[in-house]
Amino acid sequence: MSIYEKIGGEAAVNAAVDIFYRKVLMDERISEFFDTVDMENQHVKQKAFLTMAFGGPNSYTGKDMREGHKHLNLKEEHFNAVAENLVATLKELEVPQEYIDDIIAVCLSVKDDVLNLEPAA
Amino acid sequence: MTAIDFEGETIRLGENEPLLDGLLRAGFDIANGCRSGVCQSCLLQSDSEKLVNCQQGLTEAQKRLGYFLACQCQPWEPMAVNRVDGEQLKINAKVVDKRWLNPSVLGVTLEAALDYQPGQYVTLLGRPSGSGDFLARCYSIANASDGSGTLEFHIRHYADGAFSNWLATEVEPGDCLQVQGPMGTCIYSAASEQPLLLLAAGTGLAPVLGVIKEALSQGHKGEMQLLWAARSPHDFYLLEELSLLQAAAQLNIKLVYQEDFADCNTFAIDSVQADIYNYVHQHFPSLQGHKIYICGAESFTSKLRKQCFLAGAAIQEIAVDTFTPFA
Ligand code: HEM
Ligand code: FES
Repeated sequence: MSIYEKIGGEAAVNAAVDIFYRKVLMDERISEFFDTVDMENQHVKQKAFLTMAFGGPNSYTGKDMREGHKHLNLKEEHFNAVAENLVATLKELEVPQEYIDDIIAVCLSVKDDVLNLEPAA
Repeated sequence: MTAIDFEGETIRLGENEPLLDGLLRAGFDIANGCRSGVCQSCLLQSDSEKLVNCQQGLTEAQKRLGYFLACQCQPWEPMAVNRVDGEQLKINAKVVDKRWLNPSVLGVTLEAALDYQPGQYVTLLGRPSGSGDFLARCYSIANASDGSGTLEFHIRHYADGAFSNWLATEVEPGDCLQVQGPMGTCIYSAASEQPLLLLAAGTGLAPVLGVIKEALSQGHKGEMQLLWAARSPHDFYLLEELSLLQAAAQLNIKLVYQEDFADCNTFAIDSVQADIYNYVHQHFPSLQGHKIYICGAESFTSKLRKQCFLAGAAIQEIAVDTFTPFA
């Protein structure tokens, strides 16, 4: 069973998305990336992010992640901020630590792509 | 340069040129209004599989038929496009009443057999005498659907606005307009006990009033707070009707105006001079579990949507109706 299924699938994403979105909007380090007029569209993208991080069904490749984030010019601190907000969200929802570790591992696996770094040799 | 086949002719679109602009440039007479995907007057049809980001707000049936909004369509592959039978989308409506609600807001009542939910909007179409063209403008329906067969609108009058000025100066009771719609999702859909916060700016009152009347007629039990914002106290209207509505115990109305004003304790309704954003912030620090309605211009709706979301309202519990400015 994947983490996604263990924590409750789409219902878990729905429970997490508003909490997570609120946190990133209030986090000065990264709010500018998410503060758009089109909140509905941004909401859909946050769900896509969470679904992917929870190991749920998605068809994004590493290349998609690279292309999709390249124009944002993200740095290590932005990545860390997103990861912190994600962990705080999961804690708030009382997700067990072992699942949180797995979810963060998924995020780390695409970190180089998201930050558009050369893969470590 | 994307090639488009339209009524047997081929036209070429420029880089990033919306289909509507290309067709108008080529001399075709295509109805249009808002050019931002709201009024649906520019509806066309295509069997292309590549209708991307140009069907927002259409019904499932319309989508299946391949209807789409020409102003939102930027095809990157050749496609064939057809007109739709526009007449079948529209109904005729007779003006039965017209009166000034305040010096710049016109109340217009139409008689039309339309099935709608209060808070939705329609596109009104008319052909002002001076201009040969059909003009299309969106307005929200302000009355509950009580079976009376009438539609009420609050229309802000702009002296240089082709449509509102035509309504103000030329249209008289007995004249006919056309109505297309209804559209929009800013409708009463709350649990009966749920607290409602309704935020309106200017003529954003219209959809909110529709929602309130519908909520009352469905016996809504939760608290309802209406905050109506305007620049000056002179901008408010329909205050008597509002104070009658307020007789319903669970409804509370507050007028919030921005400019300093010496004497307005003559109002039948509570009023306060304040910045609406601060006011909401101070008086509604926690909006968890609320259903929120926000209606007005873009700057008002986008700022308050974010604010309400951060104060704990769930995204899907925030219904927004943003007025599109007309060129
Ligand atoms: C932790 C690893 C990350 C993953 C797995 C991830 C995943 C995603 C996904 C799936 C999308 C939706 C793409 C789409 O369908 O359009 C997306 C979009 C987005 N992501 Fe990430 N993301 C990550 C990190 C970040 C970080 C660190 C930031 C910035 C601080 C960020 C900012 C954005 C923005 C702004 C969008 C919307 C892009 C647009 O609309 O142009 N992401 N991300
Ligand atoms: S002109 Fe296309 S929707 Fe209004």
